Amino acid sequence: MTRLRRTLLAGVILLALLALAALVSTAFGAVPLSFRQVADGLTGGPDAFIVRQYRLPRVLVSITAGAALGVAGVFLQAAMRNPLASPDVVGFSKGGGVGAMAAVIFTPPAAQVWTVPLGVLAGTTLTAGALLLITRRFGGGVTALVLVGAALAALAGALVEYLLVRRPQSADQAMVWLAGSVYGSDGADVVTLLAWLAVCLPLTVLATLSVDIAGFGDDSVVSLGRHPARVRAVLVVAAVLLTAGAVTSVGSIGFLGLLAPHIARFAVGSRGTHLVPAAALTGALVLCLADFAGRVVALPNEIPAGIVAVVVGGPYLLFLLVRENVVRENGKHA
Amino acid sequence: MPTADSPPVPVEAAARRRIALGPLPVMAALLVVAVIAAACVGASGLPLARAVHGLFVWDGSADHELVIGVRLPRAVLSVLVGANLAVAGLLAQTLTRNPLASPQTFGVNAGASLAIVLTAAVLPSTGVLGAVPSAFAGAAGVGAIMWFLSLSGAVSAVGLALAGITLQLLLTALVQALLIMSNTTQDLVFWLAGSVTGADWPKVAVVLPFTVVCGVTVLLAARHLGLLELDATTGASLGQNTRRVAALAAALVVLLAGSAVAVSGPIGFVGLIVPHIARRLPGGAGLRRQAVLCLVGGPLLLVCADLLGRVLAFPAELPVGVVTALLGAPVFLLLAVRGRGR
Repeated sequence: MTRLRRTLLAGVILLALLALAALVSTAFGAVPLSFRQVADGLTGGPDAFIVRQYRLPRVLVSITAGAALGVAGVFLQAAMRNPLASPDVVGFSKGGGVGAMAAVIFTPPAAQVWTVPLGVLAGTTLTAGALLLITRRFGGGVTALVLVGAALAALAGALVEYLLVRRPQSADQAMVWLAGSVYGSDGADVVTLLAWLAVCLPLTVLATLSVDIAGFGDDSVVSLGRHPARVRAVLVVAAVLLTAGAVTSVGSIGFLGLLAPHIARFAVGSRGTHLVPAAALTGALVLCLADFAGRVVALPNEIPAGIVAVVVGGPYLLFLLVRENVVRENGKHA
Repeated sequence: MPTADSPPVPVEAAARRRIALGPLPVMAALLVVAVIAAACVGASGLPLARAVHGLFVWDGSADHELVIGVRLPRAVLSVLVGANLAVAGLLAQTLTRNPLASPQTFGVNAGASLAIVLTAAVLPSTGVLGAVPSAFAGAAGVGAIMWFLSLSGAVSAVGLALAGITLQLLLTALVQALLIMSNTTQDLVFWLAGSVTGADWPKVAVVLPFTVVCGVTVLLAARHLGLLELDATTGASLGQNTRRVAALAAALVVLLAGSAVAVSGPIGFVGLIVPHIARRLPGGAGLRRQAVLCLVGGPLLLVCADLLGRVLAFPAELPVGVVTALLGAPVFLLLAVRGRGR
């Protein structure tokens, strides 16, 4: 079966690239290490502290969060039948940021291990609800949805800045977090994120199986014996949960959820069971590379990975936008 | 012509005059009140009577120094920046025939910001005088991209706004990266949001000529600029050199928005919502009247937003750009949803 073979090939290539990126990313930094030193560090050599405490958690968090965002992007694009939809473009990530900021400010520090993730989840869910309500109430073209998302993101951004001004002592840390950064990730972050994603796994599998069906019109979905609203709900809820997990650990990283599904679709086509794993690998690879680029571009400073992602993803969204219109004008399928 | 034997006519004329003026006198009065309030309200907790005394009695006292040296320039700067942004938005919406156009949503503000930060990083000694020309260059660069996109016809009205917002995100990310790289993060939050904190008379002097010259130009050329709302063929058939007028409008947008960003950072949403409000007000027909309403309404909005920002987060201050975003984002949402059909 050629499609399966192609997907497997793409998966192997992506995995190899990801392993390479992770290795290089672990080796590079303020203290450059050779690959042998990295290998020694992993097993407890002289550089074990740098490798195990700083570099490795960071790489693992970027890989896991990137994968979650990539998959969330696939689900949202399928649920909304909109190639421009993704958790960051439609403002989910920024909404999660508001929730996190509110949790940091209004709850005691001791409880923040619990309140921050809850805040992110609440913010993301509220944003998703608002977006669905607005687009459902008014209907919505492909680009109008994104514009509504941009407006929601602007609103969320203003709220965040309001909270920042109320609590200026946490501003510096929050700015980096809001831009989206894997800086300062530790082992506990990795474990938390992995545990969260494990909880989401059943729903993710269910949503993956719904990706193809959601691509049909509502009538076809009914004739296939499925409930269109329920199919979409599964996809959106899965996307919200995955996004909340990623935003909790790495902040509002933009354009990743947009970029990864498109690259993956280019590689393996749009069948759900092939696309979702490929998008996960692509998202992981892109975030790992963005973090790496942000670390080495401006030594000794660090540019948050989210900024790198916007600089790469922004032009791509522009390209999609122009193509979307050109395709529609040429009368081909949108 | 009213004559002696037609008594109703003078009444009608008076009514017409009232409509022609519309809400303008009320808005102007509100603006004066707002400016005086902005000069009197602040963190130092000056009693109202002493603040008013400091505002009107030039006796060199500490109150006087505070009000004249700190608060009044801030209020005046808000007035000028508000006028600039509102008129720039009006012209951008007329020029592109797009209700979602504004210096912010088309990325013009962000382009100016990027150029300013770039100049500050490369030539730190130039200060605010270096900021103005670089702001024009940045605004013109982004303006050219957006104009090209809108002329190419490849993108719908909503798509054009989306392209502008993407451009804005991209340029803002670059500004953030530059600020992080040059280690000037101290007032990053404030500057990126757009703020009139730290206003002084030299900044007022920088932006005032542009407000006056561009404002007068818009009012004088309103008849021609207004024809941009029609399509190019109709404009041409009315004897209009459409290309030249469009170029004039684009240049005015760049000058107005660029000078505003140079002194106050990229303040959003003023240029988007004020023209829409102006069009809906009684007497808001025709570009000249809309421009006049924008020249009063933009300052009114910005002065009030700045006041609100100082009250909401007391004793800290909210950047005025955050307040305008809180007020403006819902309006933008409404316009985006409504604009989808076009």
